[in-house]
Amino acid sequence: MLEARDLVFSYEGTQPILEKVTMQLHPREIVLLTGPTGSGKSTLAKCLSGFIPRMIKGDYSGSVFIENKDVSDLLLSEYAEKVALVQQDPDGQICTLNVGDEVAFGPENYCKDTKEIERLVESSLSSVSSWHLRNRSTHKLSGGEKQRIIIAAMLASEPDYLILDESSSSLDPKGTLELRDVLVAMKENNLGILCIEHQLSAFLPIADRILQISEGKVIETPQNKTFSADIPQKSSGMIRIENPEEVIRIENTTFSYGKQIAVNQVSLILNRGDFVALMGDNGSGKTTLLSMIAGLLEPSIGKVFLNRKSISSFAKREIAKRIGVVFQNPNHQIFERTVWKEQVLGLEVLEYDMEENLDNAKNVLDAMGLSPYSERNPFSLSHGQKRRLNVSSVTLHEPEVYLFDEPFIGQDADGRRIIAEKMTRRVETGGICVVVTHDPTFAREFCNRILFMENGSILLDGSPQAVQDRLQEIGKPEYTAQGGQSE
Amino acid sequence: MNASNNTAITTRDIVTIAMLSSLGGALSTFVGYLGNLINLSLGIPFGAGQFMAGLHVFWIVLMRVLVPKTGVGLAGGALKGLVELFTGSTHGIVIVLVSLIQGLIIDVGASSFRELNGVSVSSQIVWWVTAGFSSASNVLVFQALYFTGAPIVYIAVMTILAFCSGVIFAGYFAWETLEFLNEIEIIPANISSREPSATPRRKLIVRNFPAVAFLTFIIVGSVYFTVFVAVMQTDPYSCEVTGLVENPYTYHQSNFVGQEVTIEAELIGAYTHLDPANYTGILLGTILNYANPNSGATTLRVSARDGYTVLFDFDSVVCDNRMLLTESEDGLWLIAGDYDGALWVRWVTVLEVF
Amino acid sequence: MSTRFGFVRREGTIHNLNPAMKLLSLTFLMISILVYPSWVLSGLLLLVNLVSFRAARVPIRISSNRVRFLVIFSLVLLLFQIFLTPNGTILTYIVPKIGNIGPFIPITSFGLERGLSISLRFLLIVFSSMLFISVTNPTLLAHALTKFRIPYRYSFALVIALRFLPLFDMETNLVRMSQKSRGLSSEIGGLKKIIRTIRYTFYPLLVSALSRVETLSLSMDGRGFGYRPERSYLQESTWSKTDYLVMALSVGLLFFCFLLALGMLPELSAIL
Repeated sequence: MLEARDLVFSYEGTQPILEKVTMQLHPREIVLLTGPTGSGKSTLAKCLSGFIPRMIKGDYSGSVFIENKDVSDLLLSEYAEKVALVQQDPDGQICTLNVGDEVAFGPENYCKDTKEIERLVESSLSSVSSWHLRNRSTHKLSGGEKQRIIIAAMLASEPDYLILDESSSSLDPKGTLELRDVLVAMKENNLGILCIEHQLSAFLPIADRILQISEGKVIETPQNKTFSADIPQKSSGMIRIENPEEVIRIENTTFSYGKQIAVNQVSLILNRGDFVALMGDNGSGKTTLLSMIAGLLEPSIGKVFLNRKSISSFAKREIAKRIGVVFQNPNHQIFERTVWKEQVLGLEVLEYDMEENLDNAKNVLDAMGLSPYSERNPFSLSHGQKRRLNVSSVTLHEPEVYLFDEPFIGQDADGRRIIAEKMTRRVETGGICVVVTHDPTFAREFCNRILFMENGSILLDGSPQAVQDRLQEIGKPEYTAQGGQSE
Repeated sequence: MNASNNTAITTRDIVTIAMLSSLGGALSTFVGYLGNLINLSLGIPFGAGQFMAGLHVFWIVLMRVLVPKTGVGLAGGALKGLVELFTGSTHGIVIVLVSLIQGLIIDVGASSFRELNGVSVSSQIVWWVTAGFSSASNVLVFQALYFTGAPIVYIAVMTILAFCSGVIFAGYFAWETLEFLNEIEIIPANISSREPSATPRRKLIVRNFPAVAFLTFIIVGSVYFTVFVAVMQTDPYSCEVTGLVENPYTYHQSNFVGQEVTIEAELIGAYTHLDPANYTGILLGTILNYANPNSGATTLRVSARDGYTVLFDFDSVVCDNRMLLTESEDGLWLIAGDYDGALWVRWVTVLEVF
Repeated sequence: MSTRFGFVRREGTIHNLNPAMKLLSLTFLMISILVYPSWVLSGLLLLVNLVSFRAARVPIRISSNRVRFLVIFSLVLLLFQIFLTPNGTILTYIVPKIGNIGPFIPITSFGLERGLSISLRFLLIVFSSMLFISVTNPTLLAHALTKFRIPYRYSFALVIALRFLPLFDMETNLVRMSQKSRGLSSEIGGLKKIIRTIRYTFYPLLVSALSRVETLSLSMDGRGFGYRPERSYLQESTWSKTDYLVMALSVGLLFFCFLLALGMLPELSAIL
């Protein structure tokens, strides 16, 4: 049994994050730990996995027991043989070029002999059903595959307990389902598993117990309690614009990265008033399609039209005035040194009148809940705040078309509501929104059209109800509100 | 802390160095692209790329500041070089050498400074100048490799350009970057980049007197040396007389007024021909005798600025009264009236007796 | 998105040579040819190099932009030397005699020789480096470097750096794309604008890279990295007889070139 007793922790000179946390994790069980952003979930994970206080310093008291023995004296490398931590960002945890090497990395460090290493690599990879990946390059894996490889790499040190910190956040519904199966299989192998999740729903069906962390304490939550999804409820009905007018037309476009075809012969028309949820597995071509719509990638074959003119005939700035894009990773689209400068960067670059728009810029920033930070360095904001800043700065000059790639990741309920409202208003006033999302409830509640992509092609295109019914029929319930994350 | 080995370098340090090398390698394409943009805008085929040279050193400086340990510059430089080698740098293995030397200079600069001042006086200026030297070093390596014999003026311009680039990008810009990284608390707090900007510049200089003096010395020294060498090399109408002689000296025709000789000669080469013309100059015999050659001298080696050398039998040169050095439009020419055309030497710089 | 590594996974004598030995030999080759820059020797070694490409079954794509660039650059180097070298037997003129004007810019035997020695040297160094990266598994190189008393924790930095390279390449593309979507372009008019352009690209990537430092170092420490001064390896390179042979050859070459450069082998330096 892995047990925390009266853990107290604060980073130097700050408010305590954990205040007398006591909890247990037994072998052969899956425990879900949930709590709002900033409640100390990750800090607890680092305490339980031994990094606090060994690697990360702060004011720490309390103790961790494993099988009723105080393990405070163990070195990190000794501790790590008992408890392993899988962190949030899969890319940041892979340190080698090859899947086999990655899994062998731990046993190699512990000086195991070659036979033993081979055995561990095989058994670990098999237990996450990824033996077939053993000779692949690590950077060519999908997000879900990376996540499984990291779990395998951790299993290779043969820990008794495994802690997963928000590991489903970068996965698509299919990847999440696969991860769920892997966890169940590992539990059967006597592992104790602690899943830290912001979005509970995905792992609810496999959880043995649920813990909740708030105000620095961990409390047990009854299993049957219902968890409301973070989706804001919408009052108005579906938006319908009379006499739809074409803004974007894509004709038979194909795009490939080298030999790999990302988007295959897609044709599509986007009209004013379209509120589109772009759905599908990761790697099905959603982001590439979005980039072509925005004129950022030139299709290898086919053409893209904006307002009935070829998009390549527009200057970069003219496109930017009409189309606002928010990409997945907020760090990749912040350029200025203060939040305020970032907010008005678009006005400056696109040569709008600064004086005229000043008030509007302030108001929008305020509505995003970011005014208190206007002199802060935008990179120092939280993930959710950065994301809202992206939305705010990209849409300040009110482009006709919003293209948002998974804008809800890392947002709490308020953030989701603000962004959803922003998009709704754009559509109601005759604009277009295309949102890449894995969230079927959002797609059904807010959007009036779903595009479902598979292997670079548009598999389904229609009203949310029709598309989701069809998805249910063809065996993809994870993408429908009934079978997906918000069950 | 970290298991049984006691090294001061932590995993975090290693990962930091690796990440920065990797990012530096990934961005070298972008840096090259910027260089090309500048070339295009100035309308020159290449060269302005040197203006971007400092951006390569930038990464090494960042590593050495973020992981403040001796040897990090060298190791980081080598690693960045290897990354670029593996990604198919146009320079192949030479890029490792270049990067290694740059890292070494950063290391030497960073540690010599500490010894000089003992305590933590602001190291800004020394850093910047060191970065400049580090950046300039690449010109010398590439010159030795590709452009042997290029006019010294050209090399000097490139070196100065690379030096400035180093000061700007690996100095000023790197410090701005450190300040930025401090702001977002992504690097350990104890690495402070800059003195508070409130400190007046003057005070900064006074407080850093030893460092400033040291740097002034280096800068003045190297400028003097460069100019001296440049003058030596670029005065086309002088040449060194050295080797087995009592009195080695630098030859100028003006020192031999009244001893000029005029001969008529015709260059009859295998494929080329210069019509007979009159050449006026000083006989080689006169020039050599002024240096008082040792009696055992057997051979004369004439070297030209482009690296060309010819050997002559010493005795026959001394007796030859149709062999002279003349001032031509682009330097000293050796006219050998009685020899085959191939033995005419343009741009003579050294006469060595042995 | 595609990887920029040149490593071509194959089984074969050249591929199986010890990676550290290959790096050392490449270094020796570079030093040799810097010490004794003769065009005949460079040419001969370049020939050996091209044969090795064949033997290793690694294709040189003459049509690829890179190879084309290298060949053009070597021609530029050749011309550069010819322009700068007036001495030696004049073979012909670049600008022939037309009427009373000219001829201009002679090509001399010495200029040609020097041009060849420099451009062949360049080609030799670059092509050997290309061969090296096509036949060397970087992971094995990092492992093999530990045999030269470089602690494995340090040499492992090479593996980490190469592992993150494709990721950073991809992120660079994303950042440039999101600049484009905001209407930002690379401006180079004036130092201020240049620095701004660089900032806009460097800072997002730096943040992204440095924010991964903590994650990765925790992940590696959590898997016992540095637990002991030594570690074992799943795949490890070996020293074979062929390795000794190749090593001996490259040391021999180095020695030979020093002797030639010092003028100790006058008969040979007359030919080479």
